[in-house]
Amino acid sequence: MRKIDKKDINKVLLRSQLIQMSHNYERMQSLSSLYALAPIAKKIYGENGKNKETQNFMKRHLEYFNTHPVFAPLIFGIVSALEETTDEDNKKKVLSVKTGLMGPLAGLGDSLLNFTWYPIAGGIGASLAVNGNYLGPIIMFLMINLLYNPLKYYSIHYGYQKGIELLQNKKTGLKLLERFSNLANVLGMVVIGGLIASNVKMNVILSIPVTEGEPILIQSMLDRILPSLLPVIVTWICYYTLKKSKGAYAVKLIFSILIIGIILTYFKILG
Amino acid sequence: MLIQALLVGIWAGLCTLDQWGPHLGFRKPLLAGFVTGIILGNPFYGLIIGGTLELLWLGVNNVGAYIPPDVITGSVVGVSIGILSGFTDVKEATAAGIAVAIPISLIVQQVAMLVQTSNISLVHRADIVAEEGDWKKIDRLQYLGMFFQFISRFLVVFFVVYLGAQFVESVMKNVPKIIFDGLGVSSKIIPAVGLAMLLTMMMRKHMWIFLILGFVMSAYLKLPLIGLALFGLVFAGIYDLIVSNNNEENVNVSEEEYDL
Repeated sequence: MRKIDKKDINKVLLRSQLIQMSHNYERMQSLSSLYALAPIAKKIYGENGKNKETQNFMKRHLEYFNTHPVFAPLIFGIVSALEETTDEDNKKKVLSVKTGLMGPLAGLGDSLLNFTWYPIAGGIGASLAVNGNYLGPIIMFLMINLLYNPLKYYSIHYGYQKGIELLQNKKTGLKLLERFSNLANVLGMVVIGGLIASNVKMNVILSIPVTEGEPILIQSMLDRILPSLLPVIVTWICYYTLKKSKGAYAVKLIFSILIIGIILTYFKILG
Repeated sequence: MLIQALLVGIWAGLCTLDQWGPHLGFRKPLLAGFVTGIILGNPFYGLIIGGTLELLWLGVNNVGAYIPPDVITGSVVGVSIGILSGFTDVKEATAAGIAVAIPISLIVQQVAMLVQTSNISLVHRADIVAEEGDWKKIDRLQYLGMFFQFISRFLVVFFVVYLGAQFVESVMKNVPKIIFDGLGVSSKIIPAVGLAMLLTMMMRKHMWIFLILGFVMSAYLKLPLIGLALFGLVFAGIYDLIVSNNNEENVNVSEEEYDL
C-alpha cells in the first residue's frame, strides 16, 4: 500500500526549491534536503516527530548531500519511493542510493545546464540586449524557465514512480546519464567555439603608413589569416594559464586584461 | 536616493535567493541588471549594462563547492551606479558600471564564503534538533539560512549604492576619457577568461574537434547562436551514435570470446 500521494510529491517539489538556502561548507545541501523531504516523513511516521523513526529519518538526511539544484527533485522522487518501501532495518539502502546518485547528477547538471544551457541562453539574450533589443532578457528568461521547470516537475514524479525500477536497472540508468553527459559536452564545446568567435572582440586600429597609396590596416591583414585570430590567441593564453594554475589566476587574468586594454587603447593600438 | 538604494538592495537579495533556490535565471547578470534598470526607471541602461556584464561573466558559474565572484551584486551595483552617476552617454555609463561591478563581485565573493562558513552552525544545530524530532525547528533553521543569504547581499548593495553613487559620480567626473575607452575595449576581451574557465572544466579527449567546429561555423559562416546550438545538437547526436555503437560492438566481441 502506498501512503504517499501526488500531493505529497508536489509538496516536496515546492520545498526543494529552497535547496541551497542553508548551503554550507561542511555538509552542503544536507539540511535543505531534510527540509525538502519533511512531507514524506510526516506522511509515513506522523505529523508529530517525537518518535524514534522520525528522529532516525532526520539524522539520515542530515548526512552530507550535494547535487545540482535542478536535478535534486529527481533524487528526492526516488528517495521518497525508497523511504516508503524499505523497513527500518534497511534504511542504509536509502542513503546509499541518495549519495550514489548525487555525484553523477551533479556532473550532468553542471555540463548540461551550467556549462551549456546557461551560456547559450545568456549569449543569445546578451547579444540582443547590447544592441538595444528588449527581447533579449525576455527570450533568456523563457529559454531558462521553459527547460528547468518542466524538468524539475516531470523528473520528481518520474523518479517517484519508477524509482525502484530505475534502481534495479542501475547499469542502464547510469549509462544513460553518461550518454547525456557526453551529448552535453559536445554541444557545450560547439557553443563555446562559437562564442569565442562572436563574443571575444579585439580590433587593431594600428596601420602601417605606405609612402604611396593607402596605409596597410593590420586588422585586415590579420583577418585574412584567420577571422578572430587575436581572440583565439588570448583565449588560449587564458585557458593555458588557468589550467596550469588550476584556476587560481582567474582574478589576476581579469585585472591584467583590464590594464593591458587601457594601455593599448592609450597608445592607439586597439580601439 | 534612500528609497532607490533600499529597493535595489532588496532586489539583489531576491536574486541571491534565486541563485540558492529555484534557479529562475535572475542570478544571471542580464536579468538581474535589466530589472535593476526598471526599478531605477531607466530600463535602457539596464539592458545595455546588463547585457555587457552578461557577456563579461558568461563563463562564471557555481560548480560543486566553488564559490565564484558574486555576479549578482556586481550586476545590480554596476547597473545602479551606471544609472545614478548621471552619465548621458550610455557607453560611459557602461564603462563606469563595469569599473564598479568587477571589484564589488570579488568583495562579495568573500562575503558569500563567510555565509557558507557561518551556515555550518545551522546544520550542527539541526543535529541537536534531530534528537528531539521537532519539524518546526528544522523549518526555522532552513529559513534562517535563507535570511542570512538575503541580508548579507542586501546590506552590501544598499550601502554601496546609497553612499557610493555620489562618491563614484565625483570620482568619475575627474577620470580622463581614455580610461573609459580602454575599459570599453577591455570589456570585449574579458569574456575570453570566462570561456577559458568553461573550457578547463569541459575539455576532455577528442573534444577540441567540436570546439573548432563551433568556432569555424561562427567565424566563417557567421551562424547565429541558436543555429549554432542546433548544429551542435546534431553533431552531439552523431557522436553519441558512434560512441554507443562502438561500446556495443566491444560487448559483442567479448561475448563471442566467452562463447569460444
